[in-house]
Amino acid sequence: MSKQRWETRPLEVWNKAKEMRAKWQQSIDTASSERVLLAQGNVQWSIGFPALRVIEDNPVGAMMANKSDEFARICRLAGEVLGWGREICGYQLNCWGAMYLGHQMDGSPFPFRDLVIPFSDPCDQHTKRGQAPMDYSPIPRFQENYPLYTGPRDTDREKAMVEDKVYSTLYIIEEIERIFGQKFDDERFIESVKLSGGIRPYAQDVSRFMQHIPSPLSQKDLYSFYTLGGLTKGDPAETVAIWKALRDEVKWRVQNNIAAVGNERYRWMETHPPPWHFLKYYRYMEKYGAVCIGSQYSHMMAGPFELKEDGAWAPRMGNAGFVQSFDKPIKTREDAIRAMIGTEARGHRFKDDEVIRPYALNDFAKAYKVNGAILPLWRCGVGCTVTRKEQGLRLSEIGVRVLHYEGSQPGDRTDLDENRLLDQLDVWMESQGLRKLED
Amino acid sequence: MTQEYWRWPESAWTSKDIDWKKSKTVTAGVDIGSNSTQSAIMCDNLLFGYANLRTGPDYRESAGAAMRQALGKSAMTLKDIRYTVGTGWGSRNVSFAQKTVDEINCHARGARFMHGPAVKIIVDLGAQTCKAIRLYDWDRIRDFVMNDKCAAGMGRSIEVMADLLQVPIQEMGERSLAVDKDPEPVSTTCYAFANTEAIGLFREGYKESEVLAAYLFAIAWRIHGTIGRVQPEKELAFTGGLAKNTGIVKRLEREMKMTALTSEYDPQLAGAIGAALIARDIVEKA
Amino acid sequence: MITAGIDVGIESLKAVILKDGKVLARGIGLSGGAHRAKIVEQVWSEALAAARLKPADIGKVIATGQGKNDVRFADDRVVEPVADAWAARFLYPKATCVVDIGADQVRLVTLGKGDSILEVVMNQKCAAGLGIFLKSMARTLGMALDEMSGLSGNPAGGVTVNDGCAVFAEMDALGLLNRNVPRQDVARAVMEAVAIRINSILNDKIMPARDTTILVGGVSKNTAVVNALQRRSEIGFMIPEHAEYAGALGAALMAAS
Repeated sequence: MSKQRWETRPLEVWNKAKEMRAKWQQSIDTASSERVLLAQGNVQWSIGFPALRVIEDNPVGAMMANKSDEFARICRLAGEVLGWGREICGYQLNCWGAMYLGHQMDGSPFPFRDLVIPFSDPCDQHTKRGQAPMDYSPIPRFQENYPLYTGPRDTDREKAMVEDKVYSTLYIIEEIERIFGQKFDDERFIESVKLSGGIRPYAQDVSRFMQHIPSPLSQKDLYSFYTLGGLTKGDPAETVAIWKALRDEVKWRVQNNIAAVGNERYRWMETHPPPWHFLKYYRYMEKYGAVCIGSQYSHMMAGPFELKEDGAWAPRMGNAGFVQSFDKPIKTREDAIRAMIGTEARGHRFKDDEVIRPYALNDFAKAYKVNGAILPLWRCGVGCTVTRKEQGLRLSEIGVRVLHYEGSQPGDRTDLDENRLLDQLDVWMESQGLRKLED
Repeated sequence: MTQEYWRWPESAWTSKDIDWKKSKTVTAGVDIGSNSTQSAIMCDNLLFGYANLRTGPDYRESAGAAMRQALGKSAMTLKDIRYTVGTGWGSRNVSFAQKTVDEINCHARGARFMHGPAVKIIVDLGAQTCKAIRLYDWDRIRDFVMNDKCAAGMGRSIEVMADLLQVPIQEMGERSLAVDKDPEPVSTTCYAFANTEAIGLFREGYKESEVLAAYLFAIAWRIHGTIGRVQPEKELAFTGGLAKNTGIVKRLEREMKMTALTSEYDPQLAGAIGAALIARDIVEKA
Repeated sequence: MITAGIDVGIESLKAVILKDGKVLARGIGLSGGAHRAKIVEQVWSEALAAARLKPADIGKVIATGQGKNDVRFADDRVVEPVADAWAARFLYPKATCVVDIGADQVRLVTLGKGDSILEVVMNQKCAAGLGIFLKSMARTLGMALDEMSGLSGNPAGGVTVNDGCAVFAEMDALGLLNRNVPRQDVARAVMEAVAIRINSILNDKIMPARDTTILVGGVSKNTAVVNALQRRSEIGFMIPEHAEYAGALGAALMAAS
């Protein structure tokens, strides 16, 4: 084992992140016994309803894939036998399979959903998301529209998209109030919107710090944080605090050249999401001194970025869509919604860049100074795979070495030959002149 | 001469005791599958002769050979057979058949003959496909399901695997059962690559029995998913060539939580026997 | 120094013993599964015997191939494309690209300056075009592999099989047999499909150069496939004698460097 080039040390703030995530998971498991509504979806305003929590099947399916091959397999079969195709996204097949079986991995009851609020997405599987819980029992469904726009910035179009989003959000909130007899707490909501705006600047810093050589964090570290405030919702003040703590610690690491991978000599990027059942490939790459600096997906909390003409890596729309740029005091529910609606309503999410703008990865590659890119092709993960091959060509054009591998879907280990993937990684590294630094 | 690990044993038999001239109706069935061909000659309700051989590149020739071998050294000739029904993938190539009947009906009929009227679910484990058939109490088909095109290996890929591992094909099942606990099944559904993945497991320190276990478990798992759609219940019977692979059968029984019926007949003969019986029905109805 | 390269593939393993740029002996055998390490020893002793050498005479042994870890006595191990690149540069100094078609993998290696490799393209999964498939097809068609690969003539009009998936191709072939298409025509259709598939992999990123591309690996001995591939890709492949030993040769050359 060769002597490390840079110092490494574990993240101090990691335990807190783990704790927050566990707390959130707890809140989902106990929703039913606490008589709190559980919605299938991922709306940003759920905090306004004291007795409403939201969860998507993605994190459930991903966690299942990560924790138990056997249970995930049995759940997928349960889904298949009930008529769901094998080509359905593995997240869904895992999660809904468990729903049909009625229990989670540890035997505890499955947290059944009370309502469905899916949103459309470049991944066309998303709109299907709500179907299984609705097939299971008759529950209300509210479709969230989510515009996707790939052209140059068009402020008139943005105005229309924002209006649409505001209107439909107000409508859905009122409907939930009416149908479930719950009162939306405007004060609490307004307060959380004001607070949550604080997350983004810290997240942006953290992302930018990973451009440093050596990178202070690796993709695996990012995975512990990237859902906080996004996919997993908790107390806004606590969420802002942890992002600040993370930012401060990463800043210190950069100042002291503390690396995620002590022998960093190769930087690679990827696209979302990884094979959750086979995360050990990051560790395998580290044996070559290769660090994964992330994907636009895992950097999503920073919001959409691009390389400007002067070479600066900056937010694509400045502060547009952040609560900081809201031009008047937030007094009403509608104000808060307008302030809360971020870049999403304007048709730009960072994670979608991977899919809809083939040259976006080039910007990312240049900014993060990557040597190589691993772009998986997921047969059943349509949204994860569309344009990937083309992106590989675009990256090759600027001298980034590309590796493609195939599998079913990040939550489904079917058709991913793990040993063959490791062989491919060996070939990729050695054909670039790199041999393993450690066994 | 390199051992042909993929070659499964062929068989043929002709009765020496049955006096076929005294039978009321002599019929025959020929089942041409993509990998194997069977023939069965029935004298009324008794099996007079059969053959089970590899389907060659010339299907007509294979049908003829199967017939010849079933007739064996007996004095019976093709002319003495009142009616022949052809079935299976290559049924159109049973040139001497008076009629072709689909293999679902033939398998169902054959299975009821071999296992008795209690059998309700028949699962045919063949070279390219697996089929699950649910029967009514009487001899009619209630439901039927087949695997999708892509399958983690039916009979065809097992031959390739036997070759790659250099394990005789008829021993694969038993060897796979010599494990304390099954490893996770091979994840690849495409049977072309399930082989590669299984062999890759040696790299992780798997023993041969464990590699076979992972591989055959994957096949059983896929079949289990397909059968699930006919809601299996007792009694269950397996037919087809893979019914002789204990590694697959035992695992299927484990996943389905039921034991399948067995009979004295070779499970690969179900289609041909059923075809011969259907031939007799046709003759008697006329 | 006398060196050796051992290439352990999924189907067969090859050994080459090299001295001062000359091959002293070659050995080949079927890999098998669980007893691969034992078969490695066997093939190795056979090669040594053919060269009239003892293990101690060999200065360095490098192993390559999917089963490289089964060569317990190897001094080093190297991935297949690197071995291919070594062999290519040795056999044809002007080579810019090497295509290796084996039992279950196809590789395209583009050579850069000096020792470097510019790019490696491999088949992801779908492989109508590989050795295991061809062997299985030969069996189905009741032909010896040599007989099938020696078939000349273009496929009959209208007789085709799927060129994307080996499984579908096999099913198509069985369907043709069922329709009593002569098996030689079915064989030609199968091999044409193989060529189409390999050609599409060649097209994947960089089209290899017309006159400076080498073809190696077991399937390069299949004249019918190679002819069809040359016709479709318009590449004049350079095919060395003993093409299937390229990996082992490359490993031995690397050991000598």
